[in-house]
Amino acid sequence: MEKLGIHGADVGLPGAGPRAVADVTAIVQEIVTQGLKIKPSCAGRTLAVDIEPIADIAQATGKVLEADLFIGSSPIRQLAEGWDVDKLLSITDKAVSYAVELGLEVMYVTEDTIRSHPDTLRRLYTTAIECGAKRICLCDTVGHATPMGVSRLVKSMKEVVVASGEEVAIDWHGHRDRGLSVANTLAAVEAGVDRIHGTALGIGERVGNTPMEFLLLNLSRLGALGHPLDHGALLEYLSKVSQACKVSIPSQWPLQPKVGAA
Amino acid sequence: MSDWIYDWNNPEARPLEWSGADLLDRTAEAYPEAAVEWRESLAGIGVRCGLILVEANEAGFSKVQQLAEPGEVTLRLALDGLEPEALARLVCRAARAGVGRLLLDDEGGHLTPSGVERLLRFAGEALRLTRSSMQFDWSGGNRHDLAVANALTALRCGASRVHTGFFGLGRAAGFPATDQMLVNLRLLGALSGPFPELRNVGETACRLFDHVLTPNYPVLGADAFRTGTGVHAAAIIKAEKRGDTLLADQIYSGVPAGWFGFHQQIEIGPMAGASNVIFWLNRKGLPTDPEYVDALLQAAKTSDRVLEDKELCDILSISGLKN
Repeated sequence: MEKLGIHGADVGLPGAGPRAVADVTAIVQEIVTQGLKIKPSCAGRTLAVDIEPIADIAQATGKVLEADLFIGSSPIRQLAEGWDVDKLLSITDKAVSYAVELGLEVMYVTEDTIRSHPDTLRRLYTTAIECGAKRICLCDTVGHATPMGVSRLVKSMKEVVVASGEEVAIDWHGHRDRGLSVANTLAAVEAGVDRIHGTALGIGERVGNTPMEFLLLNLSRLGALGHPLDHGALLEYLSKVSQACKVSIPSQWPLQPKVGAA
Repeated sequence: MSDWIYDWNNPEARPLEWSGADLLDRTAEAYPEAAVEWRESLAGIGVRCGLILVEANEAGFSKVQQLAEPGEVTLRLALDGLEPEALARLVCRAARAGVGRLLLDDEGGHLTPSGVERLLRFAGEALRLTRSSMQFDWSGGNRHDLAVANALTALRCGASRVHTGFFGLGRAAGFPATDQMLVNLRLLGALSGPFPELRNVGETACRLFDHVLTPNYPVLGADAFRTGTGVHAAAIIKAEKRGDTLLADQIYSGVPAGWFGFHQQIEIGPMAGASNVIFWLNRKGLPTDPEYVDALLQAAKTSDRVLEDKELCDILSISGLKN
């Protein structure tokens, strides 16, 4: 991943239990031991029980960790959970403030951003930024987005960041449910996000996240990667993930002839 | 749906500006022995196949000139490396020759959606000057995973028909996938009603074309509506408890499973929470007492994958909780 120029990695959700804590600690320790530049982060709900293990791992490894704290923000999530916006704001305030107090860098994530009301998003992100979040993440959690929807959303949330007066970065996170994840992520780049998310072979929830290899290939050919793409490293990355996760590389994948399947 | 969802894709809920999106499936061109059965299968979902295709080169134009009905011909224009002036010239020439349709084919898959939009607008201006009734078809390869997005952009920007291949099959460079185009057209409102037949057509395609579908293939893959994540499962379960199946279907899926003959599946694995386990126990008609939940959750948390039904039953048996 370092050779490919991937800047960061979400290495797990420690709040899932002791095994997750052990795995995440091992990965972070490896990053420290190897002196890698890649920046580790951990996912967590906006709850103390998820935030505390992240802080514990940061303490144990001596590595500053980014806590990617998420909460569902769409009306459909609010309906199912029985939340109102004031409840979301209260949870956000407490969680982000606590994480910052524990020395964590916070990326505040609204799940299902692409189906969330602009006023709700404005209030949530503003609250998170006021509590110390240095990064916000816009998500197509359920794979609903189209490129035009992404462009509208990103441009609108850039205005929220500008209005805050703070230096806050914006991430985009997408899924493949309707086959538009790569196009959506390119639209997010065009609209001005600072960081984009992907996974090798698109492995992830349901049909998966945006495939990292297609992001790298597209950004490289569009002259937007900032450095030459190491194709050997890309094939090695896919191959290792294919073997470790026991996920075959599809027959139509453009890199398939040069990479063995799991 | 609109009460539960603010749609950044279409915030003002405007009706689609373009209509009459036509798909022409060309999968069988690479599998001629399966053509007849495939045509019958496609007829069940309203997709056609079969066309008279001529290349837009000197030989092709000569052939068109000799035809009594040039309007029935689709002329194929390869877009790779084509300069704008050449594109305009060929659009005009095709229109003057009386061709019914001009296929703009990005076989190399080089364009992005922004590029497709610019190209279609440019080609459309050239066509308007001819005052011809010729229409644009669109197709493209999937080398950069943009074929479907590009095809949808082409429809929005003036193409009236897209050449596709089921699962993207049909030529080495790939096509926009017929199945993913249908899903997107349904989601955009260009098609109506549930589409359960798509599942059967997908199974037929796998059989006829000896194609192994990866589990993470959109909509038709085995994992498309599966979740083992505690947070996701909990939300789906809360929605189901409200007695609202559409809510449960949409809460963690941008594609409603029920529209295509599927349903949401909740699994038990290392990222599961108690909700996942209780859901499974309820489905099996087993007690949801704490010792049952704890036994399964503990096993799940130490696993490195989702556990199968038999494994879960075995865990309960070993724990003395199930015969």
